Amino acid sequence: MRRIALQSLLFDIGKLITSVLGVAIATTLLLAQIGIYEGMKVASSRVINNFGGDVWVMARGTNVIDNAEIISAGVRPLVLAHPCVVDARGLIHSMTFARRPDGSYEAVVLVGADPRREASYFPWRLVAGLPSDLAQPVAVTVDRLDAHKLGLPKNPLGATFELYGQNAHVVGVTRGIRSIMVMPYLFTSLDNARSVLGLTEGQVSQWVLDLTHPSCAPDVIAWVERHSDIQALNSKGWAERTEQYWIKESGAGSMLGLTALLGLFVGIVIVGQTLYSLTQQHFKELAMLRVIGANAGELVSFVAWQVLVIGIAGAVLGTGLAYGVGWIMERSDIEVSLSNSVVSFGLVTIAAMCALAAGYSVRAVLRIRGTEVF
Amino acid sequence: MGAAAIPTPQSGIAALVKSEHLSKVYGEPPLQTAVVNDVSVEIRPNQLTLLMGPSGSGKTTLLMMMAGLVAVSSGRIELFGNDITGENIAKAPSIRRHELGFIFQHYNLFPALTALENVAEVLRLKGFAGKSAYAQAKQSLKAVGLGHRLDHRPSKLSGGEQQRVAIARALAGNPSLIIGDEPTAALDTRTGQTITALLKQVVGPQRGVLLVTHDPRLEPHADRILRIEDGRIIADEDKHA
Repeated sequence: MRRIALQSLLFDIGKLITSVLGVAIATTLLLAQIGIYEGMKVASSRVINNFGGDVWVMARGTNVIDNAEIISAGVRPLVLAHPCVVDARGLIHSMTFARRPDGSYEAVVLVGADPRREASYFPWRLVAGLPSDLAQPVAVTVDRLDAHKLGLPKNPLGATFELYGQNAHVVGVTRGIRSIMVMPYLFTSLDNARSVLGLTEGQVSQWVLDLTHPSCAPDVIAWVERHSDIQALNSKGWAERTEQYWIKESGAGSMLGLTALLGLFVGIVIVGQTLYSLTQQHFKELAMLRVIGANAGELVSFVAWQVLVIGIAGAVLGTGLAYGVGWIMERSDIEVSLSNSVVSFGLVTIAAMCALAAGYSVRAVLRIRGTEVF
Repeated sequence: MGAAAIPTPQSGIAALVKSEHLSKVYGEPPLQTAVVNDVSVEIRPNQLTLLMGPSGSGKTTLLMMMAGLVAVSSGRIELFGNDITGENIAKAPSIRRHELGFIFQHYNLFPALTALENVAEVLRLKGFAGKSAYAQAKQSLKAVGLGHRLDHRPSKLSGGEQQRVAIARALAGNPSLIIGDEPTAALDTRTGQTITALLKQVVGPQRGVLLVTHDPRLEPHADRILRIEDGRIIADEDKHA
């Protein structure tokens, strides 16, 4: 039956290409939707994951890094008093405004950290300039993707612009760092961030604690929680809370999830229709096989072989196309995260979609009666 | 092109198909229609039997019941000595696979397969191993005069040649009964005559041929003609009786 199924498939090249394209488009659609959803998750917790650390300390009631309040300078000696805490790195993460050359304002996310302490990974994805240059007065990095939003040249290195009333100059360029709210990320030193935002010495929005051993984390968190105005979470928990906020509470995640679900339904319909019409064109021959005594398993294997070939070819092509979409999107505001887990999940889903769609064809094939050829 | 001998089954059977008071009724009372009505008949080997009648007379339904493709409403059918009525209809596919060969009006060949593959793949379904299936298929095609068209797909064959492939396929595996549904209806007169002569050739002491037709051109070739009207056999003409 394998030979009959495969030769029948290869015989009509036009139909074969259409069918493979149908599955490929469904695969691309699904992977792109899941990738956008995953990209949103990654973008929402990007700063937390890049700064790392073991425990994060912030103002009590803070539910997402983007809404973090400023905490006082006194918190640092407090947390350093715990014997497990090796270091407390300050971080300022705040929304502010930049002024474009045409006089209009653009909301930006200002991230301030100490480049001397974070030199190995802050700012990350730096493609031009040096981290140490951020120590210069009101020096910032701008992402290449965001230069046009700020009215800066394509290569913004050396350009100046107004940042919340101060004259900022670009000393570094990053590549592909997007925020969840599609606002440009500007990285600077802690001192510069305080200067722009009008904060006093020692004020930050979060402290990132490095511990002697990660197993100390619960004890450190309990230590911090004794104080009524601050709270602490381990890095993973803080990243998850931020992701959950954007996915569940903000509505943006639900919208993307719904779109991904719609993509799944559209994919099922495309794949189902493609595979059913492929099987349908062989109904007459399958009915003939039924007459000569082919059993249900043999008829099902005809469908199964065709679905297997089209499913694999379509999934491979569709995954390639999805990577192409991701590559194009790297130059836009939309982040498509095609991690191994996203692609694996997408391919398992496509396999399930093919199986579901094949089930419809199999059902039709099992209902074929030999009488149809008389 | 030399035609090989057409193989015939080895075992002897008295009646290939035997029906007793067979009826097929469609619909529910009071709107019931009896398509086949109290038919008792035997199909025997060594005969080319024609089942003739006008359209709607019930001949195809009778044929399908005899092959175990349609359940009977009442009566009994034995296919090679096996009762296939009621729940026993489940036995029919296996009997069809090993004992019956089918020829259809529209050939029903796989367009993607060559003549050889069309026959061989059916043989493989019947349990023949690959090499043996292809060797037998080649033999069957040579027997119907298509030894030179083995690698041609149906689209490259004439209607008559396609029907020959279908006959070779029906003969593959050496079945005891060849059943044909209007096998000459889609063919011109000359080709129809050739096909009928070929079908007459495959009849043997252990093999019968049963054809449903309303083509009177086939009558001179028949050993026996069953005439059916309104679901009843109205005449059973056995030329050798």
